[in-house]
Amino acid sequence: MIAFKPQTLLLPALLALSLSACQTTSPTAAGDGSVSYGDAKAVETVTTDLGSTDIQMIAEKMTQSLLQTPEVQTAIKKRQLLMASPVQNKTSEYFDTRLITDTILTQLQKNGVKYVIGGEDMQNQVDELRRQNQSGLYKKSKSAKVGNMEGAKYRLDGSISSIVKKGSTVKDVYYKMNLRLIEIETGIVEWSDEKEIRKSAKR
Amino acid sequence: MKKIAMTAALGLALLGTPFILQAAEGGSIASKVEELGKMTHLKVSDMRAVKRDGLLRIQVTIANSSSDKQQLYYRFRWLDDDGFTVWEEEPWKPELIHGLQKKVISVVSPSFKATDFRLEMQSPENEGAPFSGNNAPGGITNQ
Amino acid sequence: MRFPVPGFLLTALAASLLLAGCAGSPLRSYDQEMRGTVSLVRSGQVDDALNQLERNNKPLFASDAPKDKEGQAKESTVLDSVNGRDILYYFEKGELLCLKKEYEGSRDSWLMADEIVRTWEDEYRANPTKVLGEIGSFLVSDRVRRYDGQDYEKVFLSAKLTLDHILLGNFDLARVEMKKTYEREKLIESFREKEYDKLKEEQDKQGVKTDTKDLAAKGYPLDELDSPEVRQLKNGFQNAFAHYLAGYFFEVTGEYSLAEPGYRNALALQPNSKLIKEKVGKVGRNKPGPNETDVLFVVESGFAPAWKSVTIPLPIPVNRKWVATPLSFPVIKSEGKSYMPASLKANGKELTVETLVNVDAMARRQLKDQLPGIIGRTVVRAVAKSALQYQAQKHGGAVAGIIAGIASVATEQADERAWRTLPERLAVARAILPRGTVPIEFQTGSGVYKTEITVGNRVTVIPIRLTNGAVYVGQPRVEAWADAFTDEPPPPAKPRGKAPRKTK
Repeated sequence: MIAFKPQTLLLPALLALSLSACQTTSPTAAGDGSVSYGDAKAVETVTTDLGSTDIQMIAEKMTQSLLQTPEVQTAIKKRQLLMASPVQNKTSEYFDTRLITDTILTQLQKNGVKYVIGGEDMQNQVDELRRQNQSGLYKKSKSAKVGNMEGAKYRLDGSISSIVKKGSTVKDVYYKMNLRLIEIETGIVEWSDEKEIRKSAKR
Repeated sequence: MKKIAMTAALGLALLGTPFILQAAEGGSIASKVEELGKMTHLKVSDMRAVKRDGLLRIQVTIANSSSDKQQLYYRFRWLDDDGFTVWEEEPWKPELIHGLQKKVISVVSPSFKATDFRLEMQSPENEGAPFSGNNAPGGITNQ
Repeated sequence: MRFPVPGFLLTALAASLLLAGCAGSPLRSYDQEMRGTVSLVRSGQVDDALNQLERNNKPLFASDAPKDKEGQAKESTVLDSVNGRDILYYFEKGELLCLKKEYEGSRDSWLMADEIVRTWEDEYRANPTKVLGEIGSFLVSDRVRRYDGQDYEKVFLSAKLTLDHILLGNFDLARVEMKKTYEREKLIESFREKEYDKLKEEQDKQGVKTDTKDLAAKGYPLDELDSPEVRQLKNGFQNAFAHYLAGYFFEVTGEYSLAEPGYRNALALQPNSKLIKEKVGKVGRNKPGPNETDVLFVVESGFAPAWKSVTIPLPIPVNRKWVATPLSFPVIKSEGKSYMPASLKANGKELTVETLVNVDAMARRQLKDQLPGIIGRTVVRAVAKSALQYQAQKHGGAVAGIIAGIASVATEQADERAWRTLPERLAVARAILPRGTVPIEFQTGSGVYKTEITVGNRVTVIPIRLTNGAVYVGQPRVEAWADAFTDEPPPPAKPRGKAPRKTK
């Protein structure tokens, strides 16, 4: 109770202040109210373009499906590595498919799957390794050694395509995402799955 | 009490026998389902859960008693034995259920830690629709 | 039957009359004004062209304008808002500075123009019915409406801004701008669709028929808007180059899932392009080696066409009788066919130059699509004005009659405003070239032009401009450390994407 005393003293002053501004208990510093935070998990139906709900649904379905495959369960136990190849975007929308593969890898990682980076991230990795080894600025014993990076056993690959139909009053878009898990050494497709989404809009 | 009942059910589940929750069994379906608002037409008519390969597999049948199509939004919440959530909030998933259709939804838990779940359901005719921001349902539908 | 004459109309017309003489007024003849600027660019005198542009856009009270040593009106944001420089000034200035290789100034000028376009976009997004409501309800000439830029200019602006960002080495800003180009295209598409519906509804209500064939029968050169090149376009605003540029950029940066839609969209707009075809579905196949760069040459030629006014007599009810009244409509007048080389030699390699954008055809397509709306607006306006003139003569005596008479002449000129320093055509060529100094040469229509360029960055775009006269070859900023790996690269240049501060 004692700890609260100074605050009770402050309270009338605070109240007066808040009353003069606006009567609200909400912890916001709102402007004219034109911007607000929404539910990141809400169903987004603003346009027929690929949106947050589509990405989340695709990633979730793929993760659930992947987790059930014996290859992935073995990979968790034996610490075999995964990586994601760039997923082909066959739609006409400027949509970064890494949004999907990154989410899938993150969710798999939470279940113990280990993955290695590839693609764009690789350059940063190589730069840092070179910096530690070639610049002469780092202690030998405390710098990462070259030649110890591990290769992945499996890679994720796939594509996303769309069919757009437009009538005078209706636009209908059908999306299909296909994902495969490929054993790199043999090229065998160990797993594959699809997710379909249909969206339509009235003009 | 609840925890013991759950463990018993899991014991069965681990042996490979699925536990089936039926509407008749004293509202055991109701204990797993959270409806956001009263839903008149859409009802969970069957629900089964089994743990296989360390993952919780769930199959839910949703029946539409109306002859019109109904938009359903649903998501699962994944819990451990003590009722803590073991996975981040799932995105709401839209599902279109045709008139008088019974739709089967099958899911697998996204985490090995999940031993229990809740199914959140909402139909846009109710209040508090999970649409993003101020965007009314508009003309766009997901199926 | 009496035509109602709102009182404010008289005042508005009188006010526009007063403004007609001033520079910066919407009633100036833009085509006449820009003809000199264009010919200065042709003869290589970009500085003089810039001076002339500044002179033509001098503030209303010229003596108050601060001058710097060269006598040029000094950049002052306060004055800018006072003298109401319009989007065209920023369009043209950005282009001229780009030719001078002053990419920062060019970018800043285009960012100002972009702000005006964004104002329009925000207005439309926030209240589409209001923006659409202005269609068909305008009683004054199209020339005095605020000029927001033609659709193809808005998209081109975004593509040009992307180029400036790339030339300056601000690749993150280029990336953002490319996404904006695509969003802008989508917004314009939705606007035009809704406008079409609205116009139909409005015309049914007013009983005004706007058949373009009627206009053609009275002597309007409609067939000029119906060439195969115009018909081949999907619409008047989508820009194949903007999409190809996105394809190139994202391919070079390794973001293949973004490069693919770029090439695919470009191909949809230019289905016969070999250059695009060899990329669709094959993104990332042809990678440059360790000391090489995938270089994109952007060859621009000529100047965008002028919008001119023609007078066509159409029957309008005057004093309850149908009288053939001369009304003016816009036509497109080409600047003369520009020369585009078929190939370009870089480091001894012969590269195919392929045209992706024909601004002349885009302008014609835009006018063709807009013509029904223009006819509708012009006719409605003429009806209202004839009523006004009748009323003015009847009640206002001689003075008001004269004012209204002059005002109708002054306002009855079609809108001639257009971004004139845009090229007539834009083509691209691509090659993987070694880093360092590379010799290039190409035909200009009057001999061979030889020069050297420096290739350094992973993303390298070389802009070339032919004008049937002077030749301009741009040079992107090359980061010294981009060539080879060094242990401590200097911190990347601060992003300079912020629009110059605008004072209100």
